[in-house]
Amino acid sequence: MSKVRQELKTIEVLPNLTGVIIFGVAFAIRFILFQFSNITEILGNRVEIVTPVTSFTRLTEGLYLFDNGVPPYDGGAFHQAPLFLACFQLLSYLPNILIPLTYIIADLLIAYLLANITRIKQHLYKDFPRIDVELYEGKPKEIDPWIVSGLYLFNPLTVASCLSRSTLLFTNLSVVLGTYYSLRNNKSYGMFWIAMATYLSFYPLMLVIPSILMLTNNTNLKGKKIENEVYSCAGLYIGWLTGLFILSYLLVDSWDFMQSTYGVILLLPDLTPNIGLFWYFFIEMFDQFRSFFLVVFQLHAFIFVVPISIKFRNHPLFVVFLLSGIMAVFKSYPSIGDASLYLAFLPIYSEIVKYMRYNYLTTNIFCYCSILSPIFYHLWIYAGSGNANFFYAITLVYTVGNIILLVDSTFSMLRREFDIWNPELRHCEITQK
Amino acid sequence: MEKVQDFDKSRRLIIISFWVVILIGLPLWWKTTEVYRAQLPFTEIEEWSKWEAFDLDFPTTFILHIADVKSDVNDYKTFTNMIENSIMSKYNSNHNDTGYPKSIRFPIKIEVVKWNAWMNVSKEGFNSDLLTFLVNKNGQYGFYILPGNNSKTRVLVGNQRQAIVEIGNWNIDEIKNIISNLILSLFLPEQAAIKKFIREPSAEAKVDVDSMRTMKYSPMYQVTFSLMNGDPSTLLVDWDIKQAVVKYLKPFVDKISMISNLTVDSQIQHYSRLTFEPQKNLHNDKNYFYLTPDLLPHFINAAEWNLASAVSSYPTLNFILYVPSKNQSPLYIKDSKENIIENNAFLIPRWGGVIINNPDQSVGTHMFTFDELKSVMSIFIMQLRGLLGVQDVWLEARSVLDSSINVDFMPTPNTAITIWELDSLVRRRIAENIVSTISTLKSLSQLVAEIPNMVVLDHIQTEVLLALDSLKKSCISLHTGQYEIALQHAKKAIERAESAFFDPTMVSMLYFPDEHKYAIYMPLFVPISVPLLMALLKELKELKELKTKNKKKE
Amino acid sequence: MFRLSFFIIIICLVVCQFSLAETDNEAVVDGFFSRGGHTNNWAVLVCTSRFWFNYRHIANTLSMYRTVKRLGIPDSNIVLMLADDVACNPRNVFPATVFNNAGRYLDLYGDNVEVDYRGYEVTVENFIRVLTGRVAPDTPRSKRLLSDDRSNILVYMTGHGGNEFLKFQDAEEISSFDLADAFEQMWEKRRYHEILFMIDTCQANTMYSQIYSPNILSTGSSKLGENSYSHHMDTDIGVAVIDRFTYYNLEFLEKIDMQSKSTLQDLFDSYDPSLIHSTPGVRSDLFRRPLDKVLVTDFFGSVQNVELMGQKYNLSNSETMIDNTTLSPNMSNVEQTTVKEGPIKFEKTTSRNFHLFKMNSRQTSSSLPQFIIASILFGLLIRWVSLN
Repeated sequence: MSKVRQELKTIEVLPNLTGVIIFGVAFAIRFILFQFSNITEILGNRVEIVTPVTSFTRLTEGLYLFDNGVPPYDGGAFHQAPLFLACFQLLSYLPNILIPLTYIIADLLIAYLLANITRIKQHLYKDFPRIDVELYEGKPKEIDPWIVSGLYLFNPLTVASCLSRSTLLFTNLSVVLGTYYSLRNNKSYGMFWIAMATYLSFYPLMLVIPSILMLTNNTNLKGKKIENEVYSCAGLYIGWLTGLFILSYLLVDSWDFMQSTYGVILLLPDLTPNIGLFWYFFIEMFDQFRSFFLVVFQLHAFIFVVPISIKFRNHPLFVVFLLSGIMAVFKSYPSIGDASLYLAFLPIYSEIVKYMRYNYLTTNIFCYCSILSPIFYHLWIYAGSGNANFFYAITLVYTVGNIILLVDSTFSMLRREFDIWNPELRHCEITQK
Repeated sequence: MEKVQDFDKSRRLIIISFWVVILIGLPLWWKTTEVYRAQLPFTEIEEWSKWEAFDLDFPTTFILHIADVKSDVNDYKTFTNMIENSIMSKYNSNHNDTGYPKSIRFPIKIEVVKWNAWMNVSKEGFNSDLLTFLVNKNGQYGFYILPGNNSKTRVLVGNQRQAIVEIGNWNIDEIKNIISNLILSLFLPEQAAIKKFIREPSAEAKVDVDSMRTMKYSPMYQVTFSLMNGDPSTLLVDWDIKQAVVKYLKPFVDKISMISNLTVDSQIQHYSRLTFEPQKNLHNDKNYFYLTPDLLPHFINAAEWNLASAVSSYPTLNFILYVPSKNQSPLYIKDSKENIIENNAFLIPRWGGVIINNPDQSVGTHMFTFDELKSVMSIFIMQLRGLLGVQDVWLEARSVLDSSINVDFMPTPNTAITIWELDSLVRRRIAENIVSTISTLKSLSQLVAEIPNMVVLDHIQTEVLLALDSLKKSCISLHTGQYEIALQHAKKAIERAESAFFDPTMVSMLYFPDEHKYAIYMPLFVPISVPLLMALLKELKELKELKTKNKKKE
Repeated sequence: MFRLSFFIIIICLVVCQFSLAETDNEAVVDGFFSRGGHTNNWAVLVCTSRFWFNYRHIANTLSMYRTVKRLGIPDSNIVLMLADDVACNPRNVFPATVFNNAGRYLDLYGDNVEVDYRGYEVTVENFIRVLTGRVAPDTPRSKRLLSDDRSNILVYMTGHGGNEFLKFQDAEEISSFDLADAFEQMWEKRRYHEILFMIDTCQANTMYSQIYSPNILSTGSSKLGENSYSHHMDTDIGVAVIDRFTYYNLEFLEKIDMQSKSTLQDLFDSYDPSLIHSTPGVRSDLFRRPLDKVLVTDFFGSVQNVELMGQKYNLSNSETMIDNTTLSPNMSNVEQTTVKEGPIKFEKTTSRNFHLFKMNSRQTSSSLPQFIIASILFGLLIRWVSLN
């Protein structure tokens, strides 16, 4: 195992010129845009970018109550983890410029880690067979890891999400860190960061399984030892999570943070519009069916974990990609920050892009939705000449776009796998049995 | 590399994993969509509504103090039985109507006591302290019977449930006839009223003055006194209503608080015009305006006069003292025979009353002093008594008895209601409350049984059980003649039954036909289930094929 | 001899009838009592549609509101539910007004309008809560229907509807079954004496087809498969301002005042399907009284019964328990009644004002049968005498 670690360590190199330029420009853009406070205000209030469980405004509200000795969850507006209260209270004692800097640095860190993840993945799969067209002078054509970072950093969704100071960024950071450490076979760190991601926002719970897959795949253990590995990973995860809960309890001196954070995520008392599916449905829902449909919707988000993990057990990073995508679409309070996370993983698998059939469609859907959703929201809320159906329709189109992208990538992956492992069938027609 | 079997195995595992989650979801579905219905005591309510669970008794006891005349040859041993029988036969003679439940009874008990001190009373000529110190409870009445001088019979009614009866012809039959007639005339009307409550309410549809006038029972009434001035530009008015209310109405309110509470407020309104012009009398040399009975229903100008109370939801009783404007003064009310009514007032059933007062318009202002308000309040109190259902039992008795009986009354304290009237009202309200509680609970149980989707929470069940409990206690108290306690229990019973019936939580599933359930489930679950079902069916088919293939191999 | 005795017997019988009639003389109450047996009136007026182009539904409801107020029902007895506010809509060229006529003669939204449920408060749930009385405990009095067993209620609904449903607010609907169940609950709890249910929507008559509680009279603007149409449009306001069915109802009702004796049969006879462009329907099988005896003001107005009592309660001046002055209260009452109302014959008034009549407060049976028997016997006697 240490040999693999050794290998992996050598892969992380200092950034070359491309990297420096990309990071520099990204830093500059964010830094400059942070100086325009009305941009951050506007973005910080848009419902597509921030949600009741990630909003910075609500964080400041909770922080204010916390500073003044009032239990922060009594206000009913603050639904985020108590750890944020501690960190941001600390930040508030330091100069003001540090808060935007924190966000920018988090973003850059995610980008850096994505580059490393790309490298690790390319290293792990370098011995796998390839399709001819992917070879260039005998060596596989791989995407430059810095391009992956660049694609993440310059994605308008990411920039908007960062500028709005949505705390989802920290969840994304935890997810990427967890993936990184799991890929590097670091059990304790990997599980810690996944536990942190779960702690901050409930849904990364489903990423435990691909993490365990990553941690057990890279070793050559079989049989009983794998079971032990799995148990030890699970135990570590539960241990870290419990530790975080106890820490939170000590921070706010009561257990009602559970009700206010996970209770809100699971039971949806707050039906502020967002780009997800839940809010409209539950506004219209009859009271007596509400709990039933809550169960259905939450189960629906988690139902895909096991099948996807079974199908792609040899590509756990792809499982992470797909599950992030499913989270972005089916969680109770999604925002475009979730989309930016899973779109960040897509370029890592650049080799499947050539099999994707609906690129044009999904690109257009993203563009249209970005333009139309603020317009329809304005028509509904401010002009009063539309109604919620307008906005929800665009939300649905956006969801359809995301799902088309996910399904398409699944298809491409499977097709590519099929092509690789069954070269003799390349010119035959393929039908399903 | 995946071999074909691995491929199959993984596919099977995937399908199983989907179905496992669905199977976990099914019991959750059942649990989250069940309608919470607490169990109501249907059989018990059914028993009550069929009058099998109880009998309503209104027992009354009459203690006859018969003068111990030395020359008396009468034998009073069988007197008790004789008088009881004669009264009971009259009580039950109306029971031939069908539909009357047999379990309402008015048992009567007569006690005969020899009275020695009758000589003193007779000497003092009927003004006696005797009539002031005995305080019985509701249901017990005492008659002091002594021989009189002439052949006429005199009755002096006291303030504490007793009366002195002076009978001219002193023999046992005469005594029996007179006493039984007296008792019957006092109590039969009340019995008829109580029995009327038991009849089906739909029979109340015909016009019946008493039931139309009396307000339905409510634990609280709001009484509003309004002084309406037609034209303040010619005459300003004011009144000393507070003192008048405290002096004249407060004793009544205190007495009747046992049955219902009354809150009293007052207001003055200016520019209260009428909606029509009253007719002018041009005959004689007297110039006046008058209103005929067919114009009176439109007297209240509901659109412009602000009479509604915004505060409480309890029934309101409005009493209006109307001062007409100068060009409509003086204003009188004529009855249907074209005579001017003396007290210039009329009652609006279930609403309140109106008095029209014509003060001197030349002065410019008029203050209704405390003394002036006395006559005004006396009319208002009479109207209030009518609206609350207070019936003058002795007056009605007197109209039934023949003219050979002369009834006098002791001066009563200033409470606007005598004990006889209060007793009668208490008994009638007990009957009314018990019957309405039973009908409310019956409606509630019918409703809950008819609408299976109606949510019945725990507190509704508690209220219903408590209501039944109060009903039981009320009937038990009635048996032993404790009317005050029975009234309290009956009041609690109707309160609880009403709060159970009108509970706001029972509306949620009222408008939800079953077809809507399909509309709720189908759009989501049918498209989801199609691929799952198809995959499952295909797997099962494959499994079957595999089995047959294996069998073939063997 | 035989004839003579027979003659005498007949005369005696007739005299007995008269004397029996005379003994029906309890205390007679003078006054005015409505025939129907109700003592108060309520109105529940509901407009269920919102948006500017449904201006006419708001105008319909406000016209009905004005009518019932004009005929005497006070605001405290009216529950007015308007699902939208067209008077203050930015598209209203005449702000703060609502008209139901292109000539703009009358501003319905004038000075004295009390809307109890406005905007989004008009929902099926609130409507059913109002009808059944199951409101939240903190609901103010003006939003409650505090009717009792002697209340006549006018329920008027207008909006967009269809086969057995009525749409509320573009988001939900109430079905005819729900309405029938709500009325049944009202009946169970004796919350009404009689109800007039009037509905002006497309296919309105289907809405009352499922009602099964007694004493409910229903009328609708169009039958199954028919639409109800608007009457005319105001070109300045830009939308239709009144519906046909309501327009022709109002034409009739504007001629009514508080003392009018028009009956509901007259109202229903005035409906002309060729003018209304749809077939209005009336359902009276559950209604007890014949329609030509039911006054319009029994439902649209508020006729209060009146009782003239010549009595006074004698109050004493002193504070003490026993008043040593003369007569006791009961005594004076008795005196007054004996002076005022001596032996009284039972009279049936024959004035044209057929509502005004004296009633026996105690006796509920009349001596009419006795007169009939007497007259029959007398007739037989005459015939027998003439034959002989």
